[in-house]
Order: sequence, then C-alpha cells, then structure tokens
Amino acid sequence: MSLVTALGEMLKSGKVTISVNNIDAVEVKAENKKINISALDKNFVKETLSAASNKKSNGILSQVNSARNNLSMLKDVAEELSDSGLTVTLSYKGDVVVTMGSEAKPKLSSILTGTKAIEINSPRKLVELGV
Amino acid sequence: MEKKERSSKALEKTGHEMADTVLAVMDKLAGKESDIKLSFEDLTLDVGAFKAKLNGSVVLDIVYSKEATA
Repeated sequence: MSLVTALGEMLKSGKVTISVNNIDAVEVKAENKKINISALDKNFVKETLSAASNKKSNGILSQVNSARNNLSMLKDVAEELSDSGLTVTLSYKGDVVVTMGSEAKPKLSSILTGTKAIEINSPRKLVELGV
Repeated sequence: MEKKERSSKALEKTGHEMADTVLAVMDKLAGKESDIKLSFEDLTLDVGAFKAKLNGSVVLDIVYSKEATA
C-alpha cells in the first residue's frame, strides 16, 4: 500500500496546513473519502517533489526518465486509490489541476497516462507546478 | 491476528516513507534557517483500533548546518 493510499484511509476528516517560515505552502482537507491538496506555494511543492523523488535531473535524458518514473508511480497510486474508493485532488490557485482515484473521469488524458484513475483537469497548471 | 499484523506492518511502512519524505525536505531546507509548521484542525484519524482527533500544531526547526571542510 502506498503512502498516499495509507494516509487516505487513515484521514477521515479535517484539515492540515503546512507552512514554511510562516508562509502557508500546502493545505490538505479531508472529508468523506475525498482529499483535496491545495498547493499554495509553487516553489515548495516543486522542491518537495524533487526531494521526495530523490533524483537530480541533469540532462534531458534523466529528466525524461524522471518524468516516466513519476508517472508510473502516480499511476500505481491512482489505481490503488480507485480500488479503495478514495479520491485525491490537487488544486492550485483555486482550480483543480489533477483528480486521482475513484472520481477521476479522464477523457483524452488517459491515452497519455495509460490509466482511467488519473484525470488531468488543467494541463497548464500541472506544468506550472512541475509535477 | 494476521489482519492486525498486516495493518501494523502497513502502518510501519507508511511511517518510514513519511519520515523519508520529511527528511528529504528538511535536507533541502538545512542551511536556510527555516522551519516547517504543521497545523492540524479537527483532523480525525482512524487506524483500526486507534482513533484520534488532532488540533494544534507541530513546528520542526531546521537548524543551520553546513558540511565540514578539511
């Protein structure tokens, strides 16, 4: 079971705010098997993702490999979420960027991601966040 | 019993993964005299027999550090 799915099953309701140097960076809200992660500080999200994946992206080839690994990891997580009946959404500046899990209804993005458990709601903001 | 063991192992793995992620973020912030604050608001957790409601905050102070030079 992945970290996201385990946390999704553990969190029943409520809100967690992560702030760095008194600046709100991420807000997580949970309710009825739905978890919304709001990215408030773009740089923090980017740095956390790069730190979590623990890879230095030097050169185009390693960046492509890193993106492929991230997508593969996200696909596994999203399918696990879907099987558990959980939905995780990532929002930025008030708009939903990605929906993962049971409530994802992808259209064309399933061709790109190779799964029906990931819906890309705003490709532009997804690129902006560097996911 | 087996189910309890499995959930305990899953919880242990989750804890390790979370700690690794926090450690990686702290590593990034080291040397910048930063702090990370986690604020909880009516956060309800349910892990089988363990149920909890959290309110309040936890602050992780990242102290200044740099590599030793020879």
